[in-house]
Amino acid sequence: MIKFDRFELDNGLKVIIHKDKTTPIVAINIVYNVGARDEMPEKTGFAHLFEHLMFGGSVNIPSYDTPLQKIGGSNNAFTNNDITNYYLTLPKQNIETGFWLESDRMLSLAFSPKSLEVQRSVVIEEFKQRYLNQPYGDVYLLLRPLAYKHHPYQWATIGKEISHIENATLKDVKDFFYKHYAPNNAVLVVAGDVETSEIRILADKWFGGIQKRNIAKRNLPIEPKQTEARKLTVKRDVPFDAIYKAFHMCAKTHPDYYATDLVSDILSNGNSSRLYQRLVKEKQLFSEINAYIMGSVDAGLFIFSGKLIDGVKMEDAENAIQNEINLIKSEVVSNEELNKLKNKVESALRFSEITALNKAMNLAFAELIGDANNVNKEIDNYLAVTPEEINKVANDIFREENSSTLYYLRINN
Amino acid sequence: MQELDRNIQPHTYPIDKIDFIQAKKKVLANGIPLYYLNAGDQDVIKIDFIFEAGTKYQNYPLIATTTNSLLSEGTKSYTSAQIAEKLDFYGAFLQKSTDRDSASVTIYSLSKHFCNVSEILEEIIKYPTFPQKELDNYLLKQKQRFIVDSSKVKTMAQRKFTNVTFGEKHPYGSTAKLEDFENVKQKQLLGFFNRLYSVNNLKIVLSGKIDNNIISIIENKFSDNWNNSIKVEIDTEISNNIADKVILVEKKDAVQSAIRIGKLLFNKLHPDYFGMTVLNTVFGGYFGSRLMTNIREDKGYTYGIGSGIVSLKDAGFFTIVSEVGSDVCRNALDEIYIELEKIKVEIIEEDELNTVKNYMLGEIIRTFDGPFAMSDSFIALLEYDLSYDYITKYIETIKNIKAEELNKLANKYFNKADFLEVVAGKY
Repeated sequence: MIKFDRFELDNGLKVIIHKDKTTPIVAINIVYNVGARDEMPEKTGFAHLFEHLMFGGSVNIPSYDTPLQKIGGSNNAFTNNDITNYYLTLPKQNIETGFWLESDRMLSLAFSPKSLEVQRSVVIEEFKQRYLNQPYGDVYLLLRPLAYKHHPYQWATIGKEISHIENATLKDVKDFFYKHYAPNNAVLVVAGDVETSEIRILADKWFGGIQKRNIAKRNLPIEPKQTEARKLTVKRDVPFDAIYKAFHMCAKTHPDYYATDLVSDILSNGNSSRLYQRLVKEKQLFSEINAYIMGSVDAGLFIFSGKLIDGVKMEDAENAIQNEINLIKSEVVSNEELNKLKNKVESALRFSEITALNKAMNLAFAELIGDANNVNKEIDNYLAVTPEEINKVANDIFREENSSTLYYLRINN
Repeated sequence: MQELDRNIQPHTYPIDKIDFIQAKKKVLANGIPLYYLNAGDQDVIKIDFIFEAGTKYQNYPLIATTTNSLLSEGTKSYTSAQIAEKLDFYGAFLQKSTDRDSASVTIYSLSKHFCNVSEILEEIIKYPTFPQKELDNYLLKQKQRFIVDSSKVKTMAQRKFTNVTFGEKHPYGSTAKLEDFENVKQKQLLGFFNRLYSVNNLKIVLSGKIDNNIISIIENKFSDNWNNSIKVEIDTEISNNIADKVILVEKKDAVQSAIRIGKLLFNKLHPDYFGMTVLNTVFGGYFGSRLMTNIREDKGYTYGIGSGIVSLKDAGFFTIVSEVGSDVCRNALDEIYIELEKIKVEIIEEDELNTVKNYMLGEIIRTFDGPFAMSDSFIALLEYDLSYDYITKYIETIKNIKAEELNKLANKYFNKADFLEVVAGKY
């Protein structure tokens, strides 16, 4: 149970405080309700490039990092398809510096041309390092546009292609800021040995004066129901063949979400899971195989990904996955197997509540998409899932016409 | 209301005191030291079994990691599948890891299931059987992973750097080769296990919600003499002459090249270690470091660059690590050497040094954030038989060291002629 206090400033900024007396560190987390799904199709990779620019100086403070490092703080950020999340940890006596820095970059940025030029290069190097110069690095650049034809989840956070990042202008950057960055489009969480009254004063002082901005209501294209199976084959300079299979599934806030997550756990969470025991250990078809859900806010993907053992035929590998799919569709899972996975989920949730920073992130994201208190309901939502529900969602999702399959073959095949 | 001046940083307070909970010690009847750290408010437990059984003790490649990895793949009473089933049923997470000096088994468990989990733990630690079928399956998977890894420029550079720095024959310098996967025998694993996974070569560390009940579970299970062998120390003397100090491992189609530049240094027991840690932080040890500021934040040649001092039980080395655009690789190398020269010639300015000092003190606080972080910090001391005084001295050095001393260290240890440069990819 994560206890917290919550209030909202007049400008719409939501503030959450979690008191944890056991840690010498205070964690501050700000999540903005903007991600790669909010980009235009011809300007992708922008939310992430923008995250880099948030460290390039704000309207009154030339450097974000230096004053923070000077008081023993540390920070980072990440962008995904749904959100952009900024976080920092600092010794509790210097918490006000965190408020000063975060509020100033919410107020406005320096919009320095040099920062844009440099971060453009840095992000291009990131694109190369993580997606182009790694074996199997471009899988999601291929699988997303295969599975999504309308919804912006069809591109990865890094962007569709390097040219979109190359072509970003300072005007684009400014427009993006005023369109998405605002107190009324963010959640601030403070976790650590702090008092709500003290945070209230700091929040009023530093964030209270920032004007509310007009944030257009998000109106994204809905992905129509997929009606026929899609397949794509690519050849790459990799040592082994691989297969990726994506099925459309529900959104994170949908009641079926928890049963769907447990389906992925039955298949592949832990060494006792079905895919590992049967396809890796018994049949020795894959060197590794996983089933997982993307966990996205809008309707997401349930993905199988496997690397084949050298010499195994793609057809046999795919049939083996299909057999497991057929099994979970036709036979209701036993209570014992389901309880095992529920125990595992409970344990994973407990271990995610160890550090102040993790708790702060969990609270911020839950509040942004609905209600911070949902973090405390998660476990009950999983425990309530019945074997029949598991069977129902498996049948809903695992239909051939709902699938997109990527055959990722090595060149000399 | 008074006008808010956003140009001025709010009043800051120095970090004068760092509080943390210390581990306590108890010796089991068979002599195993048991350390426990009761901290945190969640009902969770982490237990580490640390054996001095790292890769430096192996007589053949891959034996140390394979032995460690197969501990849970079949024991006297349970099959691999049964162990997996039981651990998953109790929601426990098992981690096994092997480095050059030690090998460990770590379990994360909810307190309420710890008693059940410990039954399996006892089997894994005392009675593994290394079944041939499991060994074959493991090698099949690992060999493929090895091949995938070998195609990454980062791995290419790292392996070459290790081989050349220590010499390929040195216990710290050898890395596995593809053909080694064909030669791992069950007999070798049993031999390695019997030789090194003994009562005399083990330390146990408990952290989280630890009470007398938890401690007595461990005492009941691990106080007998199940394996009494005595480890023979090995020779780790380095006698290595590096003939060629600039090495290119070519990969023609690489869009980025991996860089490793470094040299042998010393481990954390050396009197200059603390000072060099401060110098390293200025140079390449944090986001605001000179390498990051110049090569990422000014030139945009890379997504990340850093440097570090790696401390091993019997040696240590310094390395600079990055992946940079192949088209700007030469420029990046030039800039690295410019920074190396600059830190020798110019005295570090007060303001920069203060930033680094405070950043480092903040990092120390972060290494004591929560029970598991505290236990990891403690284990890092334990490996070198150090007490918490070491941290006190480290904090004192950070606070008091002068720019002039750092300059002397830079001139003593940062001579370009001593550095080995490895690039994997293309220029």
